[in-house]
Amino acid sequence: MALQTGSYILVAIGALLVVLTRRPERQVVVYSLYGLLLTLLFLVIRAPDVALSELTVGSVAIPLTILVTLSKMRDPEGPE
Amino acid sequence: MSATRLRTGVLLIGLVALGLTLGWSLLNLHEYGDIRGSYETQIEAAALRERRVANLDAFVNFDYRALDTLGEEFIFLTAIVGLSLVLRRLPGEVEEGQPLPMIPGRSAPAPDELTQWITPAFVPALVVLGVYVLIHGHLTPGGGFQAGAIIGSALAMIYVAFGYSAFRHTINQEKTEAVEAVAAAGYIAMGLVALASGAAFLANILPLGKTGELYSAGTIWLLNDLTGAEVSFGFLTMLAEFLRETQDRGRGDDG
Repeated sequence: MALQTGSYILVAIGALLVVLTRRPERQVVVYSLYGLLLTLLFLVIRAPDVALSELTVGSVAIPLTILVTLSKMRDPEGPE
Repeated sequence: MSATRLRTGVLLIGLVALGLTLGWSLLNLHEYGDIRGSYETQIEAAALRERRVANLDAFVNFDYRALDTLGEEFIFLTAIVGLSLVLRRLPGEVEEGQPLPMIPGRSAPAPDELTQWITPAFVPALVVLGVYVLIHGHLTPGGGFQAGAIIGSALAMIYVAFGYSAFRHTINQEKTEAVEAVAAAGYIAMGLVALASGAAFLANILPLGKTGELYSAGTIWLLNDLTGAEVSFGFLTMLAEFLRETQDRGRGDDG
């Protein structure tokens, strides 16, 4: 149970860090690490299927998509 | 000012209440396996005895609630079709504004040598891992959706390391889309085959085999593999669309 409680607390801290990070490109990286913490939690509460989904989608696929989009969008002087 | 204080007060009350209830819940967590609901027992018995499938999640996803998975798969497909519809340039459509790759003061980052060394080693290994997760979906944790995301992300590494042209060179987008569409249609076809054979839509009609063997669990492994193909190639289509939108501008290339 200590392991579970610890994982829940880590996830809570991770979520807070995601919200507190203001710059999108940094937030993506923090979000990806938060995905790893969630994966850990799912593993601890013995949901390996969900853990694998979270690992691939939450900490790889979504950050990748957002990063690619950000790298294309970022344009300090342009019309957009 | 008073509005701010009021808000802070409400926030504090909320935080204290949340902290107390959350702390109380965490301290009273059940040990794993303490609660056994009747649904869990029934699913377990049905999966092992009636379908001979070792991964209960795969049983629920591709047999018991196979129709729900069909819906999920088509949400993904619809999202990608919608994305392509918005991003693709129609014949005769004129691009306005500055071509994006040529923004002044912003050059493309130089390719990173370390990434270029790592990628050729990692991509095949990750694709093999993805295929492993895919074809063992009914035996071990994982399955079509997870495997699709692994395979798709692995191939996306080619873009990260070698850039857009290498990605386009590796991924034949027409074939990628074709495989995606065939896989999505295959899922429905499996359901129709079941209907034609006199069973219910998406019923399990194939021989079940032995629990734990690669080709067991009847239609579950086939539906799982079709989902994996749809998701991985769908992911690639999505990425190719995103990248093409900006890269082709200003080149007069209709892609």
